[in-house]
Amino acid sequence: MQGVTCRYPGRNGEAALDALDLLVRSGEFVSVLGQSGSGKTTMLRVIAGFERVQAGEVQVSGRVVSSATRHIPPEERRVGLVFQDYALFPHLTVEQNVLFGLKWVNQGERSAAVRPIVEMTGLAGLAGRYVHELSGGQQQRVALARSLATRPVALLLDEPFSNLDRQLRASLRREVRTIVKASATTAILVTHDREEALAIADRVAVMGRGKILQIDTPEAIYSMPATPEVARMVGPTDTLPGTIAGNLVETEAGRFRFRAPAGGVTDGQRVDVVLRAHELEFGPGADGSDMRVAYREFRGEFTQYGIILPSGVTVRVRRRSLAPVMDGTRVRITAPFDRPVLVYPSSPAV
Amino acid sequence: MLFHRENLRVALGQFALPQFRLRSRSVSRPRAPIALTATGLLIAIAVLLPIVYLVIRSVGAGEAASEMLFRARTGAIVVRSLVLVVVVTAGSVAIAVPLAWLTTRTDLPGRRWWVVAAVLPLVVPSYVAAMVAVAALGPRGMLQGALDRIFGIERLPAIYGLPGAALVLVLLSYPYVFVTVRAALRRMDPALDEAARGLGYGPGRTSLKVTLPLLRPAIAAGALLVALYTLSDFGAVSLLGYETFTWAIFIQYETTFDRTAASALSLVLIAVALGILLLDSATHARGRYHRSTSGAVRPVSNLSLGRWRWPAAIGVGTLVTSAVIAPLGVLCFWVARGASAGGVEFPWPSAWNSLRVSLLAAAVSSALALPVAILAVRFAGRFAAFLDRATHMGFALPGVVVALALVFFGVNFAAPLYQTIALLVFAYTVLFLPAASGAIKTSLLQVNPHVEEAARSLGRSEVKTILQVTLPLITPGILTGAAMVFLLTMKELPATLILGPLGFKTLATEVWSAASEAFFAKAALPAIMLVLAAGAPTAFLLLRESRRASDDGEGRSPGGNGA
Repeated sequence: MQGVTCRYPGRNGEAALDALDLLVRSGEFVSVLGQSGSGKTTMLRVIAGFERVQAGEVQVSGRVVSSATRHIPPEERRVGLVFQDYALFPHLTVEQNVLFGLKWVNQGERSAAVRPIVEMTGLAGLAGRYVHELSGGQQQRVALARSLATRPVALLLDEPFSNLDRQLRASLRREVRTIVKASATTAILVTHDREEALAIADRVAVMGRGKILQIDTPEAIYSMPATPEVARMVGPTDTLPGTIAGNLVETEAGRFRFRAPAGGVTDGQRVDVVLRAHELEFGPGADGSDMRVAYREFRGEFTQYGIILPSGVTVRVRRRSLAPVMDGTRVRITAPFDRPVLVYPSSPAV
Repeated sequence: MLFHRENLRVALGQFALPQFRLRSRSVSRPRAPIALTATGLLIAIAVLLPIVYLVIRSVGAGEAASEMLFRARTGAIVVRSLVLVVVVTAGSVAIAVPLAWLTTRTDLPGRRWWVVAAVLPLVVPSYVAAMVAVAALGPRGMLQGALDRIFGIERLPAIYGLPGAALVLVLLSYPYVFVTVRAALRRMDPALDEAARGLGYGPGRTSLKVTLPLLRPAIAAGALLVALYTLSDFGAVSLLGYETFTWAIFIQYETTFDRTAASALSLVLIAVALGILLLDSATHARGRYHRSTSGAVRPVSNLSLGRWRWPAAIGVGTLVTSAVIAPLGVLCFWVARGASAGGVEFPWPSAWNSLRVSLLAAAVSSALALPVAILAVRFAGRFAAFLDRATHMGFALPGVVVALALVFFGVNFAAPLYQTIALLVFAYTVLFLPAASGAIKTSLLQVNPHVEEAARSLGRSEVKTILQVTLPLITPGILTGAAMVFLLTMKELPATLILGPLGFKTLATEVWSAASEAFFAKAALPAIMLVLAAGAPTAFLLLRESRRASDDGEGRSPGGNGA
């Protein structure tokens, strides 16, 4: 899978995909993280051939499959799409569903051809069942097996776990990654769940307003988000205005060490400071401190506190659940030595 | 005519099926395969051609036609038709609204059975009902016979004309209003009623000030169906001698060589039908009638009728008796009487003809409805909407008009087809295509388009996807549609009379011609066969669905469709 550039004007002139670039390497597992309406599903449907592009082009293994003048129909693309609602054929059995895509293999060889995939997806005992007799997780596996059976060049997964309950989601996520990796298939998974996006993929592409905002390894994206918007998408954050003062950044909540953004910053520059709740700490404030605890939410392993600043802005801080700190307590926010805060050049007057 | 399975579903409260109208997240509109579009275009042309030809021809006739139109007799026909429409519509509303209320909101005994029984008159052809009315209530009918024996009454007031036609048509067509109003009552947010009660309204005033106004759109929708049904009815008015459009057009056609008069009258009839449709859309009120809260419909607590419980049951029973049970009794009486006189022959040739043309019509209509339905549901756009409307002409046009248009067309352009079964089956198709495409559309809306896309990305072409995935999934809808066309064709009368080859008889024409000569014994057997052929499956379906509706309240979602 080589280069995907596509532009796609939507219904009201707004582009669903706005001059989007995405390069996925062969055998790579990429997840696309974006909020609803960011165009991520449209992107998958463009790659699969269900939407046409107005500009740019989509290539699959070096072949142009979509451009303004060219549109290869979905059935000739060898791109497998796993739908959010699985879209299994209700009139066929599990085995017939999985075999559906193998029209070129003769009858005798068909079962043999899919046996490895059936075993890999743990469907061996379910071959004769109908779709409505399966649980959600099993349906998910059938959908995956059905797509993989055709040995697609690329596998597209559209929010594949969103219809499953939380516990099943995590285990199936690992399983899907193992299966996809074992079959050496290139995969693109679209999701709005940041945990899922970060956990499953080799690289994560963060998407917003029809564009890819950043693409990198999960670790790199997490530790150095390219923009405040990306930072917001990979974890809960609060943003404060600040000023660079030497190797510290000065804000209403205190002075912190910072990670310099790609372009670097100069002394005295006004910046946006992105604070992550679990990368902050707080300690007892001096009597004159004007930051105090506004609320407290016990969440099990940690407790989330809201600290209200003099300007009325609230900053969230997560703390291990030790002795609770009472509402109204005067506090002081700090950032641990090994976790500098993120700063970005101020966006011109919002 | 508009006896859809979905109507039954709605009536019985089973409207919670998942529906997939358009590709859920699709940004662009998919393009239909050229073969499909071309087929759709051909169907639209075929369906519209005869009617367009009728219009062109009568306009071309110029003076002769306009002379005909401005004769006093034409005016009288218009007035008679409109009077009948108004009386029948008002009567149907007056019967159906209280009946729907009693069967949904009160503790009327045996409600489930009454619902099924109250819908059954829909399967009785109007000429059968009219024949029963004449045989039972005519000047020297069965009622008179009984009264003569007891009281010595020798003549009853004539049933012919407006009173008879109105009585018969009200008893046949009130179910249209009943079905729509009952569905609306079941869907209505009970919180509105409860709010009124909380504001100090008693149950009676709540019904009058809140429930009834909220039912207005449903009543209007049902009334529209009744009005169009009445306007296009041929069987009842012809047997009861009340000269409305359809009967006048038929007489003109049968008795004069110049068929311009018939086609001019047809145009006026079309204009009146369109007028009714326009009147309906002009009177749509501006208020909103949606549920004010989201979420599941809570069951309404039933109003206790108290000491009115049994009188209400007797009232409903009387209605059902006169609309369903008594007609069946009368038919059985005449069959028995004919049998004892030894003069009844089993109408084998007619039964065979009915079966034959009905099967043909069902097959042809389903085949043509399939591309129409797929285009309308999957490739919604201007062309699909036009096609959908074009094929719905049959529901707005009376059978007499369609048949007449095809006669003209056949005589002038398709002489080899004139007086053949082929042209007759084509007329049925024009008339009943909407029934078939409606059923197919309903089941197509329940197929998740992602399933089709999955087949595409697994390497199937568009056409193969339709054949291997879509068709197997909508087979139940296709069969339902075919069954409805079959039943409608069995009942159809005027098109069969006008277009049937010389000497061609069906059960319907046999009933009609025997009844118009008062050979009731001869008409009763084919009539009872028709009623049973249509009634038995319908009653079975209704009972099964109402049982299911009461079993699992909120409608079952077929497995595997996600939603």
